[in-house]
Amino acid sequence: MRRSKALLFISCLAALPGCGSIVRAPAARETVRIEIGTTTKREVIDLIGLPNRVERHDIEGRKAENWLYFKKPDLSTVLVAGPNGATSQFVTNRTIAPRRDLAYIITFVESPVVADVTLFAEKP
Amino acid sequence: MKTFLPLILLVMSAVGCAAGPLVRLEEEERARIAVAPPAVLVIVPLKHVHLSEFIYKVFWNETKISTYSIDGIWDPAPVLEQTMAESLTARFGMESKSLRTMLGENAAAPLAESRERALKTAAVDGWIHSFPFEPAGKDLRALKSSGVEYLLEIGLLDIVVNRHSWGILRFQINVYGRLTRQSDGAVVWFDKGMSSVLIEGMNSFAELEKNDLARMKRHFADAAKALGAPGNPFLEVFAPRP
Repeated sequence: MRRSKALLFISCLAALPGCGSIVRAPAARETVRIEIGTTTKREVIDLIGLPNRVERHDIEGRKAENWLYFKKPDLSTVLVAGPNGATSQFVTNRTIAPRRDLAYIITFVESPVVADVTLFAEKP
Repeated sequence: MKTFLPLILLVMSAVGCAAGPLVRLEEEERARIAVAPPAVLVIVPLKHVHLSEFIYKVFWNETKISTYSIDGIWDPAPVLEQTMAESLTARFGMESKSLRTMLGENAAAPLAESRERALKTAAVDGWIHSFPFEPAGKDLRALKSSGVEYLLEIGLLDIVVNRHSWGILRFQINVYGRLTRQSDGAVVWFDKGMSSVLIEGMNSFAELEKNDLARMKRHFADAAKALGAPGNPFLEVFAPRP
């Protein structure tokens, strides 16, 4: 009985440091502003990080690149500024099937400058 | 893309189970390589960086993996290729050259893309296990006319940032190496390799991404150097035997 109590005590001691060492919840990134026609690829990476996936396709003969960002706890909140706001002429031509885990898509068309931003959902 | 990764990991782990390289370099071949050093070509079939977070939860552990694309954003191949060629020269006195340096990016990049496509096709069509043993195709054998007797193809299969819940961070690269003889396309050596370097003073993955991925590129260059450095067994096969 005494031995089992000692084992229990040691187990508790061993568990305690574990409680303290759980990785920090990732801090949410800031609210960022992306301007259609102005913000560049490099600035996008600085603001919201690397995309989770890159897909390429043609839009009316022009080469388009979609940067897909999936929902995650540390995702930035994106504010979009520009002539077309958060939706644009390209949305109807997009070949990407809607996905529940998509947060936003940044589109570039034959240029390293943002051509379109599509917001799918609020930050989870 | 999800189809490729498990298959590539499978073939890599299968290779790992074997004691030593899957294709051993014969002594007579080693003597030939000493006078005809290999050119180095790096391919990057999966243009991803993985963040692997090991989370200790007292009664169980969790590993959370996030995938980030570098497709069209950053090409790590030239740095690794140049570093491997320099390592062969510095360590073993071989006058090895990066294929991109020898032929120029415009000529070397299509060869790399062709090999990347071949690896992906092998993964989808289910012959990934025999991929390492496939003889070099016509396009690679044609390099002989450019003076390439042997080609060391290095496949950069994964770039992983490992984060442990205790705060330890490591930057890791996983590769395979395949040496082909251009005269007949024979695979004379195949093995896998890995190197990792400690990341210090980093609080979030975002720090690797800032300033055009400056910190990620720096850690990658360090990991590439570590892969070719003495103590890492990857290039040890090229060491002269007493």
